[in-house]
Amino acid sequence: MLKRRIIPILTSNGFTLVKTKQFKNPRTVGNPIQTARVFNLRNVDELVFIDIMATKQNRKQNLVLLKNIIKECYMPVAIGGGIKTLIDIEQVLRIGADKIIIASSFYDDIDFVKEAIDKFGSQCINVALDVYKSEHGYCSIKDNIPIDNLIEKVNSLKLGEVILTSVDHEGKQHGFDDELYSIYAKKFNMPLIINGGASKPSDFGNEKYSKYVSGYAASSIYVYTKFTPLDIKIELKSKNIPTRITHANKLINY
Amino acid sequence: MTENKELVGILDYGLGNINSVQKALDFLNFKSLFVKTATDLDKLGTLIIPGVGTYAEAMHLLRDLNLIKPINKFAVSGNKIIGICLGMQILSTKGYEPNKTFGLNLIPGEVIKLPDSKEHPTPHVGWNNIVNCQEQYNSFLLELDFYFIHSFHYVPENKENILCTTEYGEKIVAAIKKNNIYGFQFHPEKSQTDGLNLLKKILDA
Repeated sequence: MLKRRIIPILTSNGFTLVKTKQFKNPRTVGNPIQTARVFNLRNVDELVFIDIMATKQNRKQNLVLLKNIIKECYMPVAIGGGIKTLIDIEQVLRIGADKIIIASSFYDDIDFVKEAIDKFGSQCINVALDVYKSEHGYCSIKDNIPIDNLIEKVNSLKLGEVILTSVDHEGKQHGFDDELYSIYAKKFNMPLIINGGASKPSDFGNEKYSKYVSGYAASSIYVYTKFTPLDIKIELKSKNIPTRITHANKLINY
Repeated sequence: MTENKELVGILDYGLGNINSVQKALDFLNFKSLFVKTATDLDKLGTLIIPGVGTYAEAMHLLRDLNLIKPINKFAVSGNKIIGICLGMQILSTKGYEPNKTFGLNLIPGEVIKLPDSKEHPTPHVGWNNIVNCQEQYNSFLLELDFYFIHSFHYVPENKENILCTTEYGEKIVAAIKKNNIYGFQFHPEKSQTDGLNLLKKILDA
C-alpha cells in the first residue's frame, strides 16, 4: 500500500536556512547541509528545499550549495525557487535533484511549465500553490486568483504533484488549515501535498481529508519543537493511515 | 573476472539522474564510469541504465548514440544489466509513452499507462511496499518500502520474469529479472538503507 509521506521543507535565503511566518520575517535557523544530513539519518520520506529569495532577488539558485545538500540525501529531493527556464531545470536535475517545484512561473509563464512537463516528464514537475483566505474566499497570494480557477488550471496540466500551502497558517504553529483542505483537497487530480501550520503530531492525519493527501509537508515543527518525523508517523499509524516507519537508521558498513 | 570488469557503468544518454546512481555506487564502494559510447562497454561487467523521461525519447537517444545493438551484445555476452525506472521500462519489447516505440527487448513485455482514478491518481509517487516476491529475494524485498515515481508500468509476456510486485489500485510489476538482466520500477538509489542493500545484493550476485 502506498504510504503517506512526511516531508520536511527547508527554506533558504540562498545561504542559510530561514524560517518565515506567513511568508514574512525570515529568521535564520541553521545550516542547510547539516540539516539535510540529519534528515537523511532520520530516514525522512522526501526532502523539499526552497530558495524563497531567489525570485524576489531576481537571481538563480546557488548550485554549489544545492549540490552539497543533495549529496547528503539518499532519498528524493525536490528543489524550488527561481526556476524560470529549461536550463535552470536541467542544471538542478544534473546535480542530483529528483523534482522541480515551480511557483511564480505557473502564473507568469504557463508555456514554460508545459514545455518543462514535455521535456522532463510530468512526474518531475511540481507546482506550489500558496493561498490565503480573502473576503471572497481562498485565492492565490500572487495575482489574487480564486482557488477554483487555480485548481482548474493545475488539473489541465499533467503535473507530478501540487504543494498547497496555506499562507495564513504558514509558520503560525496552530495546525493545518483544516477548512481549506476539507473543501479543496479532493478537487485535485494529481497527488497533493499540504503545507503550513503543523506544530504537533496530532495536527496530522485529519480524517476529513486525509485520504486525499499524498504527503504532509512541514517545517516549523522540526525547527522549533521536540517532534521528529518519526513522532508524526507513529501518530499516523495510530490513526490507521499507512505510513513508512523506520526506526533509528540501520547503519551498515560497506 | 579481470579487475576492469569490476567497474560498473552508468549509461549517460542524456536522461536520468546519473549522479544519484553514482553517489549510491560510491557509498557501496563500487568504482563507476559514465558510459557514452559502445567502446566504453568493453571495459565493464555491469551496466546500470537509469532514466527519467519518456520511453520514446529514451529510445530515440539510444538510437542516436548507436547504443542499441552494443547494449544487446553486452547483454547476450552474459554481462549484468540493471535498469532503473525508465531504464527498466525500455528493457521491454515496446512502450506507448507518448506513442508506440520499440524497446531493447531484453525482457519481452509491454509498457502501458497506469489507470488513473480519484483514489489512485497518477503518477504513482511515494513509498510502497513489495507484496509478492521470488523466494530467494524475500529478505531484500518482501514487505520493504521503496520509492516509486512513474505513470507507466511494465506488463511482462512471461510471468516468470516478475521478480516482485506492489499494489496501487491493482497489482503492479515492481521488479523484473531474466538471467543476468534486472529491472526495477522503483528507485533503489533513492530508497535509503533498504534500497542500497538491494543494489549491493544485485551487484554482488
